[in-house]
Amino acid sequence: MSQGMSVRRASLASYLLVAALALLSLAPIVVMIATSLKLKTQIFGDTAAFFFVPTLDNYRAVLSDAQNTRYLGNSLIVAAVSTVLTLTFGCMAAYALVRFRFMGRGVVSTGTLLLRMVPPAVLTVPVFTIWTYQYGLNNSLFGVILLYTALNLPFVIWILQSFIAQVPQPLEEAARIDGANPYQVFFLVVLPLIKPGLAAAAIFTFRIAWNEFILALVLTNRFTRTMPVKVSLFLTEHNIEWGQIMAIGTLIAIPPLVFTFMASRQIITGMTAGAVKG
Amino acid sequence: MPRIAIKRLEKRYGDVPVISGLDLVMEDKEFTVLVGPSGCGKSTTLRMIAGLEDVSGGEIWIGDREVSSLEPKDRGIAMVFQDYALYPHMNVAQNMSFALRLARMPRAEIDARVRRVADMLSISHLLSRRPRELSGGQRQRVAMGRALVRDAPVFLFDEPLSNLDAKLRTQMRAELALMRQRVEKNMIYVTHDQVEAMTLADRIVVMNGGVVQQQGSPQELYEKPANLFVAGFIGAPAMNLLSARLVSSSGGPAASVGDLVLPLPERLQDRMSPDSNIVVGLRPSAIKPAGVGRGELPVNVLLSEYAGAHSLLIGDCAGQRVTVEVTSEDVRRGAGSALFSFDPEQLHVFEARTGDAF
Repeated sequence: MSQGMSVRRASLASYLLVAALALLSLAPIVVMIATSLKLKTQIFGDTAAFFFVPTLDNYRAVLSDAQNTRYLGNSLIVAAVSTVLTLTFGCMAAYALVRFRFMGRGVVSTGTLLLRMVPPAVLTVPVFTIWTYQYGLNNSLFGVILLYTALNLPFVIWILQSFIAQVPQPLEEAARIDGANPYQVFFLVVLPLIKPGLAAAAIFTFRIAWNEFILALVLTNRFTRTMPVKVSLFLTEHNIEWGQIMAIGTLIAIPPLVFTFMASRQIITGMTAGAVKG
Repeated sequence: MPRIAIKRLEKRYGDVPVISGLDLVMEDKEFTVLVGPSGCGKSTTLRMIAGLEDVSGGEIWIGDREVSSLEPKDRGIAMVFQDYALYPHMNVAQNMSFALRLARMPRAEIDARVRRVADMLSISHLLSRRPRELSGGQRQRVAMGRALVRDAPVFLFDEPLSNLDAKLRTQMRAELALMRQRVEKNMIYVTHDQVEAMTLADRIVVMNGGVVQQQGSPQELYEKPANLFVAGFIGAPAMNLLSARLVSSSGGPAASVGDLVLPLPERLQDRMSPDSNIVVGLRPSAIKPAGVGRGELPVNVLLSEYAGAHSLLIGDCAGQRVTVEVTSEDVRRGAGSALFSFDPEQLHVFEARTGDAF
């Protein structure tokens, strides 16, 4: 009996802990959505904290601004293209690092992670200088895409290496005997089997590219701005448009959410696929 | 169908030689089994024939082509792997047709071929299933089917039955034997199981330490093992091998095992120098009840292993362990001393120093 009690007490404690954690992570989102549905007077008034008549005014304002839709498009392009590029190069590099034996393989393999440890902010000034004065890539979406791809590649290579290492080599050998050339072995046999890894890597890359602020701020202009940069522009010396900031914040949160749900489905189906021998 | 010839084949991993100077010829339409203990180089040899392993030296000929530098796909081979190596993301039909699709064969012909092979292997009802939904035996068939669909002239098997449980293995072995009657191909089969080798092979190649110990038909290897290794490896239960000394007695050549004197085959009369160390081999099944053969063999029986119709008696003969195969009725005599006999002509005699047969 006392054992049952202690189990129940332990589970109660863990429920409380989980509830507290859930509250901590959900509260900002709730506040954001609530604020986005309020008028300016309601935001700053102290009466209508939780009970108010919602309005879509902020969304109307945000979406009717042609600039914002353009920036949303920019963000989508940057995140999507850099994700595709990162995965394309990342999976090939990871495959080479896992399967081929060449000089410096170990150094490159661990070196990829070292690169990941450099904070992006450190790169801001040198990248700006090089992009602007050497290659003229400033103010272009391509410049941002290139940078995000470079920043995310190390981690993606690292994550995919472990997935590729788990693909049984006899499968590749069977494919070679079946007449596949090295590219066919890779694209027709290895790649479908590391889908879960690709999905995880895609979620990671997409989110980073979607949310990145400092480098985008430095490298873009009023035509090529991404959404996070745009949000910061609502903070002016005269005015802070909290309602619109929160509306944009809410809108920005949607694509990564959708993308994550789509991609995570691959992770789940992938986990049950495996199995080579009986 | 091509003949496969291996000439002075070598394989080294760094400085470690695995196979040195291997010569083998596998005739057209022959079912050759490479057999030996783990690490004897049999799988490496097969993988070199397949092109999955680089050759360190020597030549591999398939038909009139030297293939040792060609890609696997250019060698005209199909292979069945130990772990089946079925593509988990494709269903059975896609697994089987993968090679044909890569070869850009017309759709209709691919379908026809897959159907025909699937019928032959009784897996037609599984065509739309994924490998993970199949049992071990079914996966085995699919792996076989994937190789058969190719219609390649050379067929390689790398221990294809080793992952199956004992009952299924016996069943699949029989099916393999049936299949090879229908499919006339040059087949090379690697196994560590001498029973598989004996039952399937036209020709067995026994390997040990990267060296061919003996090659020949199952009967030849069983009846005339060339050395101690082959004698101990081929046949189940294993041959009794007794250390002995060659002596001459009135009735012809003889071997002394402890204080026991065993008559040796007449044919060996002139070929042996007296007083040399030898090993005498006698199959458990060649040991008969007392009075049947000319030679006498007293055995102190320690243990009997009942196995249905036959039983094995494990005992002691002049201080050395021997196994005797008897019909189970004889077992009831139980443990203790018993007298057996043998025909001296069925003795195998090996030189103790080199291990070679006389």
